Amino acid sequence: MGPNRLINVHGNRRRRSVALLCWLVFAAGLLVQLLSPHLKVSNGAFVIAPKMAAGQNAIRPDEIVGRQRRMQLLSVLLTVSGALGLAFLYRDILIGAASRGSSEAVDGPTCRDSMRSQHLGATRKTLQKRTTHRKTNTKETQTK
Amino acid sequence: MKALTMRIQKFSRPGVILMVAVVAIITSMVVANATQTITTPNAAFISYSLAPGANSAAITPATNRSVLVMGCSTTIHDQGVGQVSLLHIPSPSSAIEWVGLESTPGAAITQGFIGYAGAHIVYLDYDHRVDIETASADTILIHNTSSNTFTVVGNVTLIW
Repeated sequence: MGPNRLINVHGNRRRRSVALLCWLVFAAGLLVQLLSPHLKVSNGAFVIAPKMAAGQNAIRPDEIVGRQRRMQLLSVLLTVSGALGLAFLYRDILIGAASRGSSEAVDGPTCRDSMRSQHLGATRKTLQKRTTHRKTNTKETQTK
Repeated sequence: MKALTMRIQKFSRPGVILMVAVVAIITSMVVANATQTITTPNAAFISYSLAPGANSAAITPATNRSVLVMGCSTTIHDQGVGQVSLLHIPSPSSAIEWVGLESTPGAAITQGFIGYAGAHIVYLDYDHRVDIETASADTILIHNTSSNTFTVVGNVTLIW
């Protein structure tokens, strides 16, 4: 029982850190998206803002476009990785929600508590079986 | 985090679906935006509106590759269009080399290999008052040469 509990604690901690990492990666992707130069695309060309073109500083269209591309690529990689990681991490909840949705569609609305009580009932049965098994074992040892 | 996980687990079904939808929509928006940016060709569209004698900001074309510079004037009664293929040679031997066609009327070949500021490259309007010039050995600019109160508008596209 002890080692199992220890494994559970470690597993939970790992799961928590992976979840945090996924959310952070997802948020970083959004942050990069927000920070990237927002060049409008019109008729297959990047539109340089008139304010920029009328300014005193020299503009380098190839660098501006290149930076925009790099940042968008980074942003999409981070966001998609984060989203996929979250989907994988919370797959039980997602699948549960989906299957509950489909079962509700077929059987009508089912109460979450009723599912939980069914689950509890199953656990109780297993526990009872184990207890009975242990008792039998003890009796056999005493007889011997 | 544990609290968060437990809270997520305790979410109602619409809550979970809403959260999934939000993440999915945000991800789709990011993917769509990135796809558009990545698939757009290397072209920059620059609008100008110049008072008499005014210059636009200096533009540095991409180096060591041909850059198509095409521009037009959309000023009423002074419309025109011109284009050049341009090569920006980087330092140490900085220079701009080009060949192209001036705006009508009298559309003629324009060509040059210049490493200093102020050299005419191509006219963009009918009256030959708006042109692209070298701003330095590495940059170009749009210049309104007219001396009266005639503000010119138009745009220049660079493709590289």
